[in-house]
Amino acid sequence: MITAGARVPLTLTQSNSRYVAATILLCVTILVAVLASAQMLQGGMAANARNLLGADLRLQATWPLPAEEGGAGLPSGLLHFAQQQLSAANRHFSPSLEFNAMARPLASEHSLLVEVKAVAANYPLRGQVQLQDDLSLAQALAGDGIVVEASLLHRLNLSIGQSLVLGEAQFTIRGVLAFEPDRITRLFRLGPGVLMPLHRVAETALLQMGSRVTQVVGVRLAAGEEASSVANSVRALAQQQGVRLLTPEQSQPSVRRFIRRFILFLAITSLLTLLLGGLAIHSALASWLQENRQNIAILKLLGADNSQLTRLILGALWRMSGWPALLGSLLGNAVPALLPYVVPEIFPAETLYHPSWGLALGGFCFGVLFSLSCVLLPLRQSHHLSPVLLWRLSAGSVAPAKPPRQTLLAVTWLALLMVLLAVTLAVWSGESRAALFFVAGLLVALAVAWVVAQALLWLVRRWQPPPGAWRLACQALLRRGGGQAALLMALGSALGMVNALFFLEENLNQQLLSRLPQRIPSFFFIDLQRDQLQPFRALAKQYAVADEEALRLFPTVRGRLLQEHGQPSVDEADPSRNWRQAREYVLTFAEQLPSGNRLLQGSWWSDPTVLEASVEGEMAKEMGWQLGDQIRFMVHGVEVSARISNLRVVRWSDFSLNFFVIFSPAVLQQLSHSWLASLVSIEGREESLLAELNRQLPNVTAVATRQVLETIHGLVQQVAVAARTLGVAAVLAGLLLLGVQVSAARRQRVREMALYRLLGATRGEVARILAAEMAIVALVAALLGLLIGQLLTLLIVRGIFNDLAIFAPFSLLLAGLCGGSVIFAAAWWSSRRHLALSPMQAFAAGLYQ
Amino acid sequence: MIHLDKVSYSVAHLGQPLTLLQEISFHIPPGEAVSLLGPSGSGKSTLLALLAGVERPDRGSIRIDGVELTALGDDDLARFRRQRVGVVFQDFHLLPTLSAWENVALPLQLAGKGEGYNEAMQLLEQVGLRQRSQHRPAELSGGEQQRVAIARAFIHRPQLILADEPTGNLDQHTSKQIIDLLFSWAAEWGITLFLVTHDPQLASRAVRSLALMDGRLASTSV
Ligand SMILES: Nc1ncnc2c1ncn2[C@@H]1O[C@H](COP(=O)(O)OP(=O)(O)OP(=O)(O)O)[C@@H](O)[C@H]1O
Ligand SMILES: [Mg+2]
Repeated sequence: MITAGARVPLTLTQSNSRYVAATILLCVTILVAVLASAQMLQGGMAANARNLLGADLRLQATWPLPAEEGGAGLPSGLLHFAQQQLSAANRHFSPSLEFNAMARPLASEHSLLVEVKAVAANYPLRGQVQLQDDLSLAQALAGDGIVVEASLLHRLNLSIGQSLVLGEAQFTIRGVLAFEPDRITRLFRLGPGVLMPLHRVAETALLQMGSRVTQVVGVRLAAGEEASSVANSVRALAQQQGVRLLTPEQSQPSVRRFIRRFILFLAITSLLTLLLGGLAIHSALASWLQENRQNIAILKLLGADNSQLTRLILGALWRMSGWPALLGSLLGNAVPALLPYVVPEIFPAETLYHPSWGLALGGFCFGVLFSLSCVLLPLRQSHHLSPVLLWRLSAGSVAPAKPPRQTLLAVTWLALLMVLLAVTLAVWSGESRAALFFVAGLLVALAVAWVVAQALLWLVRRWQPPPGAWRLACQALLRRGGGQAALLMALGSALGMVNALFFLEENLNQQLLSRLPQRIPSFFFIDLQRDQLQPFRALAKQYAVADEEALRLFPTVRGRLLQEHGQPSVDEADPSRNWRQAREYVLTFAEQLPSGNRLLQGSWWSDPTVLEASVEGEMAKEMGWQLGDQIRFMVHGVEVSARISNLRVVRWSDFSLNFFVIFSPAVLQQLSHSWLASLVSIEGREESLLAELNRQLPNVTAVATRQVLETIHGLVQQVAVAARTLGVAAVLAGLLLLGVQVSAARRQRVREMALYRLLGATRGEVARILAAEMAIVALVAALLGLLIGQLLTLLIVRGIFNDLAIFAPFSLLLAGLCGGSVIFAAAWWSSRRHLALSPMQAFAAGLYQ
Repeated sequence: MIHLDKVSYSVAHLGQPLTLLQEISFHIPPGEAVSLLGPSGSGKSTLLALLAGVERPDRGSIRIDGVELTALGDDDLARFRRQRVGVVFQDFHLLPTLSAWENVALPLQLAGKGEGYNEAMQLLEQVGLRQRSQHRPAELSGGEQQRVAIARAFIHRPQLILADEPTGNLDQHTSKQIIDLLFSWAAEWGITLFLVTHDPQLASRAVRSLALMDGRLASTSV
């Protein structure tokens, strides 16, 4: 009887094994990498939630609260509120202020926008601030000490021990910030961070009436207290006063949402790779077993029983998929370790990397089980395969076509798996709508690709080129059978994804450029006071370009939206959802419709004494406001109200100053306000403008547009890097599928080429026929890729940026050429060996292997 | 050795049963060489497939070496083959991934009788292919491949060798070598040889000759 020890040699051909191995490696790596990165981010955020707040509970307000008698300085109102409402045994409070300011070295004119955090002595209540040298924060902030981020030293060319001027006060840099617990409070940071003692804020004279500043009070609760229940106990009152409460669970909702969406986007993009890879694995394994039908029949004839066959097939499968799955799961697990270096904006250095063995195991099992699932059906069929086949078919003429039902079943199974994965992702991320949107987009793209691929194949069928290489190639292509449409769909959708990324970037760049670069303001100036207007105007005049619109000044106040009965319309339970209501608005008033705005409905006021308001159209739509509605805001403790007399269209993308709500002068004029300015300055004189400004008006904050654009650009770039990586992975999966298909049609093709040669075709002529066939595949796939790429771009540009997509013939041509030649090269490469065969060898190879 | 009793076999073709073999009965004693003649399409290969246990008759009984094949399941038939039957084809049917040597050793490995490489090399030596033992089938001529296939059929010393036109693809000179080999080994080890052929001259070398005509046994001559 059979002994288990009897080792049957490798009796099955392994022609597709490298495709199976490569595809499994790719898919498992991508899957594990994306999940591990997601886990790292999520895990990091959950574990550090308290530390991210720097406290157990965070109170936050962007407008002054009525201060306690005699309490001087800004945070005292909020601190008073906190102490009154939350005081209890063993609770601690730590007030701080966060604002933007210009910083400059003592000896230099060069200044830089920084994000200042002024903290009390007991900051932080949770977590620890780490400085680069072994200094404590208290030591560093003692006396005139200040702590800065390393990038500030870099950009201002300063070092520890030197002086830094903020407003009217002078500080000595004592430490460099290595880690601060509440660092990732915002994704966009306009400048490097600075930590200073709270009690010295007054000396800087930076904070004036209407200055934009966030007051923060951190609360440390007694042991055993639940942050959320404490927060709930004061929520109603806080809401009334315009105080936001943040518990660790809801810290940085916007950051979290961004990250969740980012991960979701990556995960769903990687689904395309998995889908194409799954197709490749399936067709490789199916054609592998198909090809081995005869060998299996021989083995059966020689007396191999089903258990021996099963062991043989599974053994071969294991050799093809086991190692790649293992390697892929390890590689994928290592990817997150690199992310803080590659995309530091999204993965800050403090997100800790732990290899996740659970995920590695999961990825490994996925790879092995998936390939197993692909052979289960064919395996069953091979059990029923009778060696009588050997009498019926002469060697080499084993029918290559797969039974269609089997392919259908595999595709269904694959689709089910993908939907399952997508649903899991949606539930996990809590972004089911976004997930649905992404998945629907993916499916629609695939469906479009399928339909168009069929149509293009139909065209190829109808095309009757003159007899010669092209005609033979067309006929050969159509002989390849049903896999062609699936192959073209796969290649087209993968190329389409990469093209879309390319077109999108192109679009964004083009649109920025086309909007008259000289009209984009070079600077925004925040918090100009009434007495500073005169000198500011004089200064701006020297540096402005010759254009009436070069300097624009708007009086501004900050206000909260009120709804019926004077209640603040803030839903603190979910601040991320109705941010429009929760946010603080910068309000202005004007006699004339500001340039760059266009009336949509209604008319502008001619009489400045009426109480009227102009609202941006999109906002009105979202809030459900109509012409004639009364809107009410709370400004500096005073309630103002006006009737909506017109709706406006605003073009946000040109970076000029724009407002959601503009009032008629009578509404706001009598309230104290500061000014907001934008300036288009003469090129090359920005530095000296900043220096002059710092000398004359030290408490005016200047934001360089370039700085903002660079920040946004940096973030977008890093998202793009991640997306592009996955796009390349999808193309790789598509190319692997191409390799599989070429290899599956190998016998057919080799026999054809041998026949051509026998009939007198030269090697060059045969090569031309092969090249023509590959060229048609490449052409069709490239066209499909362009179509899908354009379609996706159109949808995204229209849907997200609310703009018309730019049709760029040159980049279309470039993308088409690149996609086409990559596919042609890959197809040629995977079939190049067939050309080298002599007719003799070709016939032998056609018969055997 | 071989007992066939009223064996009938049909296939379904376009919904209609198509009878390929009808009421075949014969008996062959152990160690005898038998040839099977008949025009193309008369059912010779079909009969061979039944004897090899890869097809089942509709009716009748096939007993080989005392084993009733119709009573065995698929796996038992497989085990029966690897212990008692060897098959030689017109198209050789060697495994393309294995060398000549490995092809010959395979039946012993499948039967769990060790590696079988020594035995395989001995047979290859006897058929004059020692120098070619590392070659793959694609690198061998038809005659060489057939010699490898014969060595594979004999390596486990079966009780029965089924050969289906083993010389159909070969020239006269090579054919003679192949047939000599089959007959001499069968005689040497006392193996029953069942040889399908078109060549009456070849058939005459057998002790007994059977002829099929349209699925029926037409004549038996001794
Ligand atoms: N699965 C099948 N379906 C229909 N007809 C079949 C099937 N298998 C065999 N036949 C038919 O049975 C008949 C006998 O076939 P078989 O291969 O046994 O002939 P043969 O005597 O070996 O012929 P040859 O000398 O040409 O090899 C043929 O007419 C063949 O067409
Ligand atoms: Mg036959």
